[in-house]
Amino acid sequence: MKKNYLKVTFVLALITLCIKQTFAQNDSIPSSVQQISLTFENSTIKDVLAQIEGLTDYKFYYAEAWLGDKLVSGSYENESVKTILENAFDDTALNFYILNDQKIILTKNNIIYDELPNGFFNEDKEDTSIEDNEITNQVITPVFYDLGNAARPTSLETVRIGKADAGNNKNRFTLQGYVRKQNGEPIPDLSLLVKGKGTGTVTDENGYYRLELAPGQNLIQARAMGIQGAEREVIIYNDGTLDFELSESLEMLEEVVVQADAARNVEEATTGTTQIESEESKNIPLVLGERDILQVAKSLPGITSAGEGAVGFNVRGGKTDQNLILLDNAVIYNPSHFFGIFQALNPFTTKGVEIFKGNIPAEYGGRLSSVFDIETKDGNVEKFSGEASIGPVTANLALEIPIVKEKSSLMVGGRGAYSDWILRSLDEESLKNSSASFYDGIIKYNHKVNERNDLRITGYYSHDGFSITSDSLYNYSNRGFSLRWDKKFNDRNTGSLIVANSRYEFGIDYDGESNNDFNLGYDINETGLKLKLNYFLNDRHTLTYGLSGKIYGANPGKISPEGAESIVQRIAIPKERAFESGVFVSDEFKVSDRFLVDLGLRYSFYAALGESEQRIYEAGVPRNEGSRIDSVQYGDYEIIKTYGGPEVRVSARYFLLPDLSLKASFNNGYQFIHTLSNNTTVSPIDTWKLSDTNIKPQRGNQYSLGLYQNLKENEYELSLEGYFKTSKDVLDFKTGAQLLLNETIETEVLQGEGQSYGVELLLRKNRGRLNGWLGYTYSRSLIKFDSQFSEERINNGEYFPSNYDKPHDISLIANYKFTRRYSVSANFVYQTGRPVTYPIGSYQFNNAEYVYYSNRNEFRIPDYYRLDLGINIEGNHRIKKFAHSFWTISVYNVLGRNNPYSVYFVTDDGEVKALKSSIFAVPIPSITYNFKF
Amino acid sequence: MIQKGNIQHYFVGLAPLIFIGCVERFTPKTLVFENNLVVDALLTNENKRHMVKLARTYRFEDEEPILETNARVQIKDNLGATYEFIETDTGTYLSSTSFSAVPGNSYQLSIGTTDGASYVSDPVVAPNNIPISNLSAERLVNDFGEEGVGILLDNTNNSSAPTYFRYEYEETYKIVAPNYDPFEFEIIDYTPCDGNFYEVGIKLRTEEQRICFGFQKSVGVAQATTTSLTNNDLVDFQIRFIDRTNYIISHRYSILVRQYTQTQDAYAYYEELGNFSSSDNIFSQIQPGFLLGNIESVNEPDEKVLGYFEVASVDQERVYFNYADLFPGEALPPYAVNCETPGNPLLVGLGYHCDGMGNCDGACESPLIEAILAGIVVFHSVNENRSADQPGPYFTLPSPCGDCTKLGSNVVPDFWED
Repeated sequence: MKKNYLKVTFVLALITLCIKQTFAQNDSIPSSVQQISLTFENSTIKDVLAQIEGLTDYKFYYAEAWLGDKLVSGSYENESVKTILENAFDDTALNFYILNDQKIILTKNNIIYDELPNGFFNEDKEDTSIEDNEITNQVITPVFYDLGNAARPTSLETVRIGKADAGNNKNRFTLQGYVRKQNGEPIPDLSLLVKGKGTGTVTDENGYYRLELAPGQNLIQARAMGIQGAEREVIIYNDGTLDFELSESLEMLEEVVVQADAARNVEEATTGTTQIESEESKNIPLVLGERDILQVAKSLPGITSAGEGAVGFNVRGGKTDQNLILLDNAVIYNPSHFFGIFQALNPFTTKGVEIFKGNIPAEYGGRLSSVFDIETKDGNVEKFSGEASIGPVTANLALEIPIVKEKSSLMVGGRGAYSDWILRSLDEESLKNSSASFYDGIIKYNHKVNERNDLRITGYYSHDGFSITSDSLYNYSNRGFSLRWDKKFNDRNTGSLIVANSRYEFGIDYDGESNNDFNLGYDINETGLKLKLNYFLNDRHTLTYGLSGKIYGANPGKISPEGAESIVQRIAIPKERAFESGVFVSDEFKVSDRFLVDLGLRYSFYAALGESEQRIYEAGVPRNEGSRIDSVQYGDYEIIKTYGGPEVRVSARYFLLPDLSLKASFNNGYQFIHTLSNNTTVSPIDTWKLSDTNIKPQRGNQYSLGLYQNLKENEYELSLEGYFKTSKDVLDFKTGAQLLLNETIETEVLQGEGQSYGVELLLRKNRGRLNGWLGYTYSRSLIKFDSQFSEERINNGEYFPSNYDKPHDISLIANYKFTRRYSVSANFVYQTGRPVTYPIGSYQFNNAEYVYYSNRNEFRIPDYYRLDLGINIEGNHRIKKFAHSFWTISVYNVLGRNNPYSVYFVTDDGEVKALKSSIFAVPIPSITYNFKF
Repeated sequence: MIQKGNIQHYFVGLAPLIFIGCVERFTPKTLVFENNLVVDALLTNENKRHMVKLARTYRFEDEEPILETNARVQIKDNLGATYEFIETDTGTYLSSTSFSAVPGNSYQLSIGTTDGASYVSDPVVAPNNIPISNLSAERLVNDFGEEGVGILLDNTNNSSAPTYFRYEYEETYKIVAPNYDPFEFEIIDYTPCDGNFYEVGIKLRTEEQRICFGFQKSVGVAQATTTSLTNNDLVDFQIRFIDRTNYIISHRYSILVRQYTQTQDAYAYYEELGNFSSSDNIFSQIQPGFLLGNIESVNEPDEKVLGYFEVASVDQERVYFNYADLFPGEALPPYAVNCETPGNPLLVGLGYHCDGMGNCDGACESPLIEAILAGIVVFHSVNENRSADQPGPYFTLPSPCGDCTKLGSNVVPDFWED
């Protein structure tokens, strides 16, 4: 107890200190000004200052870098130091502030105001008498870009332009400059957007731009195809220049919890995109203090899962297998650990994820609902650095090791759970045999070969193992490898070549008492090649085109005996192979300043390949063993069956007002690979099946329409998006289907139609002490399996809600910063309960009581809601300190709501028992320590 | 071959630690109800009067099903023979003659109910009989790390076709009342609330109440198949596991295992029935749905008919073991009830008083006599030193401690071998 008390006192003391410091500066009033005589000729400012220091008691405080090498001249007789400095600093960005008789503080850009401006406490004073109301207010108000940070030393994240001039009352300043690559090459046709203002420009051939900005804080975003986007917070005091050097690392704003930048929201043509930065998700309280961008994704409209313990995502009413999850361009089949509760991504090495849930760009194919493009950070090429954390479940370490200075770096990340150790050390007999552990590791090498060539290589592996009894061990793992070579051919043409390989596998090791010990395994492997080229035709057209191809190999299941005594028969379902490819071209066409169209076209082609035996079933009768009439053998790599077709990816944006845009899109797609699952939620031992003669690819269409607006200088972002989706040939299964180790899986498969629609509303506050977002989604997800045969029908062939149909979904994420170091955050979720198949009565059979089921998903479990709270404490930012630390204290499910996850019925000792399960039924506190060095 | 069992308990056990998950039982309500016919029919290769049970589905709120009475039930074989069934008990129909299913022949069940509906099963071919080659009881540690006795079965199949089995068993075990006393209570005078004194004595027992035989039938579905095995023989297939703390193995135990060689379709039906009514882990549930059997309505093809008409070949085997043989010199498992602490019920309830004949108030029932009449206590000893703490005249024990008939029958079964 004593300890806790001390800690609290310490925290309070810190807060008090901060406040004192802040006021110390504002409170002091300059005293009289000494007069001196002084002459200098072509001297540096540094020398001038030194001279003044010699003649007076003044001492200057400044950073040498600000002074530059400008030479000044002047001759003064009994002149005040103030005047001398004013003249010397003319044409520089320097301002000064005479603190008292001894100290003069130089500042770059800023004037230190010694009193608060008029109207500071009431910004929207009604009697402001100058015309141009909205903007003028800011002119007379000094630029306080972030009140909480007034005492902060100049931060790299913000660029200050010009010098504040007390007499300046212009309401627009001009910012101009060049955008270059790190090697100095200009970047033409790059769009620079002012977030939320609906203004922007495009660089010319020399990378030159010119922008009109409102005084004060502006967020400028740079975007171009093939170039890493960047943004700068620009605080503009006067006309000035700002050159951009586009580097790989985004400079994010501290205030923004999750960065899906607002102007982009309004500006770009694509509907339904979201970006989440890993670093910025650290304030969001999540279960057991684990940072998890994929969980954060689920708090955004349109992305859900069936429940807390469910693997995978349901994006806009789509199935969990319809998401293309890429980690540095390599497909990750299961990006989560332990039944979806934790992400299988190292939060320190992950830069962020970009999610396409509406219109999917033409370069991506093969999945109907979404693309999760997860990107790993580039390692630091300057100096060795690292980040580590210790939480209640995992320990995590990431290191960035420069190999060739300023050229290449290696990033290594590793993460492991120690729950196994906890389980074993517990004095509980029944748990001794349980185990649950996971780990993941990533390694990335980035090399800037020369000015035109960049190389990135990533390797990834994740593994989960869990056992329920001492005799069976379940495990699954993901492996990913990718190599990406970015090349710039000339000013207009850039390209990327990507080679990727991925593998997902799971296994069950069973070692029991009898003679049936076995080892069961499944794996899928894919190797792909993608060439993507960008051509900046002119100001109005940007073309992206290319082609991709991949080879799949799946071992749909094998079982082998384990141990000499086992008489389990070795069975291996024959390997499946397929080739999937696509050619794509898209044009971002700027029809007018207001109207932007992104026209994309893709042709997807798929071929199921031998060696294989394909069974042929009699048409017009239910497909089962009895209706099989023939089978055909195909040789190695012989084409069995091909599918494919054109895919349209069109979206358009029209500015109704400078900060209000309307977007619409249509896209369609093919999906050639399906998960086989007869569980109500996804399980890690679900297998992936390649389309063949009997199982057709899934097809989908999506229409979306939305309105996007940014309010109050980008502080608020508002969007309303509606969608309607249809899908064909989505998979489901006959009741009680046996999916594992079934060679004739097609006799168990049903292919039906899906339909989903919804409206997504998102209000986001990006800046200020309070930031976060509020999302509301109304959506439905329905599926239909109809056939002329009753055994191939579900719910009489009518549409019924899918397992993840949750019409109402509200989520709120809020973060409030007390000081730079202390913040609290909250996460609230409300969702309609998911549909369940509930029995319609009991019956007796074979001396036991059973329940029986009729229509699927006719009922719902009770609604879900949860509140999580967290406190984040940043260590202090002293430069000299070895490590920067960050504490997160959070409580998951503060309300202790016992949210039902599932309802099910078992027959135990001949008697029916109705059971209700929940995953996190009580509040779960946790504390995580992170540090960076 | 992976045995379904109490797996869910363990998983849930693991969950609280890491994830504070939980599973709670609740009382289900019927939301939508359909009244459907349930058929429980089994035809075997045994020469006997075979049984078909007919009932209806029922609501969760109801305890028992309504039985289907006055139906017309018959089985036809592919050789043209028809076997009629007669209702011997409500909802229970026995064939009028004894007959046996012949492997290779096919049989079809048809039912006509009083509401005019008629139902017919798919024709089912009787499977070959695979004999049990060995049944044994062995001391072992099971998959959950618990020590006990496993009942293990081997069979031998001479054909190359995979075979499918389900198992039922009946266990019979000797029970010895640990606190048997030759005396039992005798109620001499007890008319509650009549104002007379109550009197309880003891007398010599007249019935065998020291040694009895307990009997239990299996519930649920235990299945095995040789489809995934290299040969078609089952070796050491565990039919039953009895934890060593279970009192039923304290003395001598016997189990009769009935092996039903099933058709593939019947095996799949039973397996699915098991899948739908058990849970492997709390994170993912198998998608339940209507379990289609092999009986359908003739007139209404979409009408749901529950249950199954099974034609199976039966073999059975019995095995005995003594606790002393498997656990020599080791302490017996704890008895079914706690016999350690004797009770001391009052003869007359506290606060009961009478101020004349038949004019009494307070709780006039005698706690001791009521317990004797209810059969929940047996005589342990006479209270020689009645005190304020222990005012009752006798010490008692829960009745199974001294009277084994509370747990079993005192009749030695015909088959019993000592």
